[in-house]
Amino acid sequence: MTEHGKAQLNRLTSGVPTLDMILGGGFPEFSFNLIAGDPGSGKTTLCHEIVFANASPERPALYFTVIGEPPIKMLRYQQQFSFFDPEKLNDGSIHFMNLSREAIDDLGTALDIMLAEVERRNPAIVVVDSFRSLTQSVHATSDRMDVATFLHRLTLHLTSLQATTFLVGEYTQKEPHDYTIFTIADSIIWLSQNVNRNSMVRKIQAIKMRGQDTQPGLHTLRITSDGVSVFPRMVKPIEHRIEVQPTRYISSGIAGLDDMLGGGMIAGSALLVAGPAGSGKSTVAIQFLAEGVKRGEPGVLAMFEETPLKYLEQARGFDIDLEEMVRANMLKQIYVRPLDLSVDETLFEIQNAVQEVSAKRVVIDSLTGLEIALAPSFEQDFRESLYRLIGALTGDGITIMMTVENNDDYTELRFSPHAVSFMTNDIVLQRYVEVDSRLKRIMTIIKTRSRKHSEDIRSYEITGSGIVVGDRLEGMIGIIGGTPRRRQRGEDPG
Amino acid sequence: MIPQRPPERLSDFARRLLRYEAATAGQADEIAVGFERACRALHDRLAPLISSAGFYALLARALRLAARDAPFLASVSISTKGDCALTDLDAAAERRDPTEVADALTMALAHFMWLLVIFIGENLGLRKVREIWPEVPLDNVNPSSGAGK
Repeated sequence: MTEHGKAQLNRLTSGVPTLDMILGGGFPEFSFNLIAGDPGSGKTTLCHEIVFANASPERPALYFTVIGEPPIKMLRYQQQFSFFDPEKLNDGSIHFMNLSREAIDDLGTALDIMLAEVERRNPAIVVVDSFRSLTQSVHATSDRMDVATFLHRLTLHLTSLQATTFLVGEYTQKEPHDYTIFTIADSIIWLSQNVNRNSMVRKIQAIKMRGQDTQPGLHTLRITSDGVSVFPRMVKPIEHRIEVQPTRYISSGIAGLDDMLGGGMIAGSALLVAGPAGSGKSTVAIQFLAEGVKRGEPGVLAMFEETPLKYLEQARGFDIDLEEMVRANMLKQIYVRPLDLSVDETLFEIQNAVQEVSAKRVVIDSLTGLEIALAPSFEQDFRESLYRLIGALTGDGITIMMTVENNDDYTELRFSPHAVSFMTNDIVLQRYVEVDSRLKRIMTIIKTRSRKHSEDIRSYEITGSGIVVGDRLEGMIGIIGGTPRRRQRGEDPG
Repeated sequence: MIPQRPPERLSDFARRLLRYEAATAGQADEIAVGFERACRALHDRLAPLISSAGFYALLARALRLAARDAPFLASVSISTKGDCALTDLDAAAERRDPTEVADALTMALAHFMWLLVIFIGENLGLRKVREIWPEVPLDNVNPSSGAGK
């Protein structure tokens, strides 16, 4: 029966689990849905995926095609997707029905034909692709049915016949919308294609969804040979964290750095290592992950610059066997370098990897590489997305180490070109300085949150066992300014 | 590359279909009637799937391809009013051996089915064809294996 006397809302899967999540569980049964968006944004593919995921001989789907894309081409291309099971067209699960030109000259005739077919097939799902083509092709006259009447009758009949309906419509975001359908529809799913410079990214948004709690915002959609993939835009789970966890210090894997940080990193925090090329940022990251594995804390290494092979080689130089860690399921490597990556996809991959190995430590090496890998349209959202990523991971108690290449121009103390420093708890700055005609590496702690850190500027070396932090550069001034010199007797050290 | 010519087995199937639909195989006009009947059946079954316009586009292409071997078909067209009537076939087939006409229309039918396979695949396309003529054996037809002559 029903829970507390309320109507029970069963849901149909979209065939895409992450989209179901965004929709609040899927499409409500018997709902009237509009799948709208730009041409080429993936509307038909999504509808096919919904149909193939749900249709069965007992609960068939009826798919009306209406001019627009010739059905022979649609069938030819759609069957290339892995979800397209031709058997479902043969066993009576899915019926494609093309509405002829004559039928769609008048909406009343079209409605009669459609309803007759619906009565005959008794489908659980009905798709009209494209509804927009259907309504645009008719020439409304006083003796012919208008779009509003057509829609009202179609909705009423299909709902009473217990069919879940999907209307496909080509709409561009800027054009004035047909408000009748927007009002009638129980849900509106909007797909878009965003082109920026040479890259294109598809997005999906649940604009309207009656009776369900959806995840708001634009989510990345990608079409692959498996069909539609959706990468939900993350909300900030850190806000949901209610319990205050006791502070737990963890080792960075570099003893001297732990000392400088005031006892190590704090579990569930984010640390940024900023430094010029070759200063050893990746080495710090490798040691951080290796230390975690040694202590039974699996890690994820998201690489946006070097290849996994380079990392393996580099780590081997410090007697760290990353390959063995991967084999032991203690380390998951993510290597992504396409130039049209969305932040959502990256976050999704990192989250999946974190779940896969139950990671406690995550390295993003580097923010500079990640920004380059992102499609131009996402670069503007970089800071916001990073904020969400850090919030999501640290909210789950995961400790993050990020690296960033900074411009070591000695005139400005900038830790990150992305102004992300406010999101991180701790910042470690690495730098080259010239001392006695030798290039030395130095590091200092710029900030730590909720603990006192060392104010020393200390030299360090990259040795066969990794980074070894040395002593404070005694007797030198002007190091950060880029013009170090020996402090004269009686000169103020500060 | 997909061979342009239909496989031999599909041609055999088309020949049997045409023989099945034609009342007698002796006269060119009877063969033409059989061809039209077969086309109407195909249209009724396939138009809901690939649209009527899509069906006629494929059939017109099949006739054009068959005309490469039987040039007299070049002047033949097909009515798109749902009756699939061949126009100008009488004039084109005049003084031609009925066997030659039968071979030409067999090839047109085979080309049509092969186009169907090429465009929407064997699973989808040929299954629909099989549903029309369950009594015409198709068991040994495997159009993917080997092109025809």
